[in-house]
Amino acid sequence: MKKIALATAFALLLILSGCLTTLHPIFTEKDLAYDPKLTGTWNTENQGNKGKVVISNLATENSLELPGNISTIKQKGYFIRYQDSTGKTSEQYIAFLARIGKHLYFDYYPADKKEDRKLDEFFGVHFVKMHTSYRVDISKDGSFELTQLDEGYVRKLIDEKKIRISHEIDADDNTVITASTKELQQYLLKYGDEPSAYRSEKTIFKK
Amino acid sequence: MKKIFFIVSIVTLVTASSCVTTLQPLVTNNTAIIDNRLEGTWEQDGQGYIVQKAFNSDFYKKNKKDLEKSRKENNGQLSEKDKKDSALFSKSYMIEYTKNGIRYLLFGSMIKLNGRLFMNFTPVDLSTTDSTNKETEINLDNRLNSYTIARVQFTNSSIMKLDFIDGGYLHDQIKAGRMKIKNETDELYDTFLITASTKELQQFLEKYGNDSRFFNKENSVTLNRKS
Repeated sequence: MKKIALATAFALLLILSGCLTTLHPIFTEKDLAYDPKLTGTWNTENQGNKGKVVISNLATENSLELPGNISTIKQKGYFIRYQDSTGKTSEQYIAFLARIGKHLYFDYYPADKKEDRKLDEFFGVHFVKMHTSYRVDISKDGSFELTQLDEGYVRKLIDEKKIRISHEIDADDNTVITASTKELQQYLLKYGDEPSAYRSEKTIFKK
Repeated sequence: MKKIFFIVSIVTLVTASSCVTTLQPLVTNNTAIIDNRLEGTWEQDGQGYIVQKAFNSDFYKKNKKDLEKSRKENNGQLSEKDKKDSALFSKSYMIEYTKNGIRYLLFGSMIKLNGRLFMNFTPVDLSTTDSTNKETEINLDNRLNSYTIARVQFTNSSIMKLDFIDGGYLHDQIKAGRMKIKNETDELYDTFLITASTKELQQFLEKYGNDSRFFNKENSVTLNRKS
């Protein structure tokens, strides 16, 4: 959750989030585990909230502007659109499925919607896109669940000096995870089975 | 989730995509300076910018209640952080501009390093100026707020030039090992963020603030005073 606000007193900008965001992706090309069965239109449910998500192969999205060198691996990527009840896209992401240890994870990276691209470029340059990651549990019937990594858990480990993971504290005392992909994978290998490392709510995807 | 409703619009570019962004501010409460030449209405190619002292700004007036609330919650006192923020605010500026029905607000603070003036900017708010038009939604989820830095030069009290640091040049220098400043780079997603501390940023600009290679024409804006 991102909030722009004049908070109590003079703190200008806050990042209020329960979701772990990272500056670097959790995967390298060798970790990719593209599964074509994840593409299609899915009915989703998260804590009683129902929605629709359309997942396509990233390479089929010709009009999408891809950042950096993503085009070199687009065949193994996904384009994920979250739709509201009217069918309008509310959020969309460039995503990659990666196997880290025994778990599968989705790495999400925000993709600008047509409306987002209307933002004044100078204003928009101040917002650095971050990665969010979800553990993916696929059932035998093809449905799957996404469980997001929890920011609070990492922060607690950092505060209690139980973990060494690269991070910065910004001017508003937010913890910004700057860990490299390698460090992030080490974190996932160590805490991937720890239930507290994930947020409690899951998003269930059913065809 | 932050969703900002506004009117469908067309982007015009002042300067942007190759600007360096930093995680930490260049200017803090104990280094910010006031320069009365900044206040006023400025224009570049027909685009207007209003610069107000932060405490005099409309945004501050509207949000003053939050400050009072914070003070009440803290037994009538400001916390140490609030005191620092307040001190910075008292020496900072709000920059407001409107483009295609969207009103943008940036927070700017000025510093003098080696006799040269620099400002850093960070976004504060954006809102629609016309609620009757069709609403569109900007989603700023999963984004980290950062700062940009510009060198400021006044030709006279009516002409102000802002030279933003050329991110491409800096990135190339760092990559080639010719310059050192703490940063995070990800080639796959083309992420480049300077993570140096405030002090390191200041030292870097003390050293390179007059190096013309950092400030190219594409990243410069000349503003003319309108009032």
